[in-house]
Amino acid sequence: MEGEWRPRFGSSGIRGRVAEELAPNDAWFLGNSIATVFKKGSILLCSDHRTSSPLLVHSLASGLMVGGALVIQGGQVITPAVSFYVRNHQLSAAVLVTGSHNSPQINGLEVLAGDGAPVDRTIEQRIEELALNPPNPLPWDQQGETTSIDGVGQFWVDKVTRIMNTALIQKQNFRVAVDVCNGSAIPWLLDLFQGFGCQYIGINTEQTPHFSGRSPNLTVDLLGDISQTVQEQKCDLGIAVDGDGDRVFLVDERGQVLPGDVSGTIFARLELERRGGGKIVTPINTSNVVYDMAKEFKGEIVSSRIGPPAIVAKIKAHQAIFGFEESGKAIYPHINYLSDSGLASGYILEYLAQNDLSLSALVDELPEYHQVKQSLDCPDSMKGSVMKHLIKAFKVDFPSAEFVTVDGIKMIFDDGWLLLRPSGTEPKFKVFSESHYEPRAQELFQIGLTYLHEALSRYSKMKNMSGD
Amino acid sequence: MVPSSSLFGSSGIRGLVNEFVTGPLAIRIGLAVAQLFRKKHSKPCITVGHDHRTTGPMLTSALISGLLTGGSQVQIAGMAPTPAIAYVGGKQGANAAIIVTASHNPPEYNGFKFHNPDGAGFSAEQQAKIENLIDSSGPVSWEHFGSTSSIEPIPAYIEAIENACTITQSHRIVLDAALGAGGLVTPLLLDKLEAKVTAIGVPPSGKNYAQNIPQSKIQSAAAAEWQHFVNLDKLSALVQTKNAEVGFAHDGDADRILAVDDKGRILAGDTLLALVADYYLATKGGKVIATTVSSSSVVDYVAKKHDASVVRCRVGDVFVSNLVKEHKAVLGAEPSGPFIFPEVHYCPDGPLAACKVLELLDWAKRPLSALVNELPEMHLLRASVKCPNDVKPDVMEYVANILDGWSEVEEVSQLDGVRASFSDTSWILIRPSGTEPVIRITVEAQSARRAKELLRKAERATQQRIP
Repeated sequence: MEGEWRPRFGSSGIRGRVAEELAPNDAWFLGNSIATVFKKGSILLCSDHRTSSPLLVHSLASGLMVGGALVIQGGQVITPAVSFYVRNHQLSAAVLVTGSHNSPQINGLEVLAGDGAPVDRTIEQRIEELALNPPNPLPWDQQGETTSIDGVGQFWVDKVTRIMNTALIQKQNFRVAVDVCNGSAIPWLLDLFQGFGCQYIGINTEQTPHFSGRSPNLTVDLLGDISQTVQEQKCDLGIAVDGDGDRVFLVDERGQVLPGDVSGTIFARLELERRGGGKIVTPINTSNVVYDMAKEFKGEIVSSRIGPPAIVAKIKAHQAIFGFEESGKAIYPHINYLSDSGLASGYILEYLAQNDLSLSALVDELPEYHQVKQSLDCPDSMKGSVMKHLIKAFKVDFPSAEFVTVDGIKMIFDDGWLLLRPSGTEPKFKVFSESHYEPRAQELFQIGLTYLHEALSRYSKMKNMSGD
Repeated sequence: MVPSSSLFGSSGIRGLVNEFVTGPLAIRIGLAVAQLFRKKHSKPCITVGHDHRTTGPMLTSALISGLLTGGSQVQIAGMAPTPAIAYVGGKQGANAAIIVTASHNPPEYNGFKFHNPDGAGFSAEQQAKIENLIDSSGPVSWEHFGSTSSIEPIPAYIEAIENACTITQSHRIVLDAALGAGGLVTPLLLDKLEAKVTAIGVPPSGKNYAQNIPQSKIQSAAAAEWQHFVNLDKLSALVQTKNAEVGFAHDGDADRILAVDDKGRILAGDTLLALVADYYLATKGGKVIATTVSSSSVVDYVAKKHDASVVRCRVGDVFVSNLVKEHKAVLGAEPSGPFIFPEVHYCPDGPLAACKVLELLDWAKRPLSALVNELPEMHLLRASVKCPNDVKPDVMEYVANILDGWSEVEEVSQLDGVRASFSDTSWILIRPSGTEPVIRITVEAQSARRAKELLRKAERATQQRIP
């Protein structure tokens, strides 16, 4: 059993198919390491509503206790409430069991430091190392204990409501369609809209662990229902979140679903206006639309690797005022180091109320970009070789492009860009392209796809040969 | 024959925490139990609780995780006595109850007890099945993982015990709950039964375990294991200063009871067993008492008075409860303190036993000390002989043959070790320990001289064969 594969941190915590890639035993050892890393402190433990969440919560709690932690069980709650709670309560850390936007058989865990930010790479490595080589068990009288608290979600609802100018929002009598994705945002996000004084129309409001309404992911294609509701019910806007309620997409009053880059760029613009300029962190796969916007609102864009730990590390290093990802993550570091759909919703409502604007007016001010995205299957073990091959091939074949290799390989041309990148959470390789001109976006995408196919077939052949 | 087992001892699975009894073992046990019940029920339900030990919550969480992964629903009972968890779990439709407890063992130990819905511990067959499944049980598919609910076993249990007892007098009682889970139940229960209770060893605390327990000077062999976790001197003294009619002590999970009479005398488990048996045979109309090979012939004396019989099995409450069922016994008990009252359930039940002793006092209308004095005085002696584990079977076979050849021996039983009864009611029990490299010898006779003589003979017979 020695040296066996164990779950490792990807770009956003540890993820895997439960009981196969992420078994209760793994969670137990991880719990023990986390308690050891945080020196037996008080650790908040919360989860989403997946079928596998209770079993992971219990094995984690057990491991945390054997490592001497006081485990504070906060139950099932919307993700941003967890980081918000830990930041405001002098706790040592939080462990969050969530499969986020992944399919229902997947689950995962995110480890947050006392300020609610995802732990950095050094701590991730220390946790992994201790899970493989556990410390000597503590004696019987130094075992941790467990206690339950209510109100992690309510605390978030109350505080986020108070941050916003609800009197102003209320006056506008907004009609908002809210798609809570049958997920763990229920009921907190809906309560929050009630707190804002909005009239809301809920979509997918029954909590179901298999996500009966739609996939827990957020993409434009998946959000047909809310688009239709916004149009039919004459809503002022729509808000859609992923399975655990941290990611957020906007729908304008015409029913147009805004891609994550566009939603994120609008959130970023609001922050720049509110704060009179500042730095915005966003990963290398974000659309150029954010650069265009930033020029106008005294913003400076700081590029990062993909995933909240990388984004937050850059935010802290550059004292940025906002961070976002095209996946729908919106991070307001002055309040919460995890993506917060509630804050994003509150700020957009407040802005529209203050300026008496429609959301589409903000959208229409942005230049138009066309993007093409697709993922291909690629085993984790092949990602490294495929990556090396692609860099080599592109540098030979496209000598005039500008190359960025902080996360995957991004080739920037005068009229668009192409990004190929191994997924940090799944056995997949992703292709993104973007251009003002749609045929050019398609062309760049086809180039990426062709090179990726070639690399994949080459290395899977080699793997098959060496496998015998 | 009972299959040999490396996991199960005479009362569930038990060992040093984080060495033998670990979180990963608890996960595997949960998976195995879920798989066992999945064969009969598509969605089994298991009740899980723990005693006061510091390692209880850690092991309980891991166990729950394993059960959920194996597709079982889990009713979480929290901290409560073993009989309360077993009783309420059974009544609420669970397929089994698992209690994380190491009973009377020191605080660095913990373990798991398994009970069926009728309260009886898992049978040898069920234990063997778990043993077989422990390395081969896997998860169910993600749609079928179990979920949890919480139950509060204590109020329902107290109500059930209250209803199962008829007590007419108000009794003065001293209780030592030994800082165990019994402290959550017995003081409340006795209070409801109008008793005046002085309770010590409350509330439950895993950390202060064994605090203030001095070296005791208890002579009674039957109470020997109690003095490791109950301050028997203090209990005895308190009974006298409080002028109490009886003193009780529980072990950590309150499936056992020890009694002190109104004179402050610690009663041997056999003595309490004989008194309760006398009361039950006189009032409940049964004809059989179930106990183990290790109990005193004072029980036989009481049974004879009522024209009833005593049936014996090997040591362990699981075997006693099976014996109670098999013979429709009116009562089952062991000298170490577990009492089974089959009209309520088949789980050894300390709080219920305390109430039954009060019933007995109502019925007898005499002080407990007077009842004790009416029993014939028996002399019980215990000794251990060192013996490597690998030669134990050979030694035991030899001993059985020797004892069988003794002319004064009336009957030889090999239910658990070798038990020889003599025509003058004295007896010898020679048993290999299941946990240590020793063979234990118990003898009982009507005179101290006879007891010593038998012990000497038994020791000599055993030692002869040890290399």
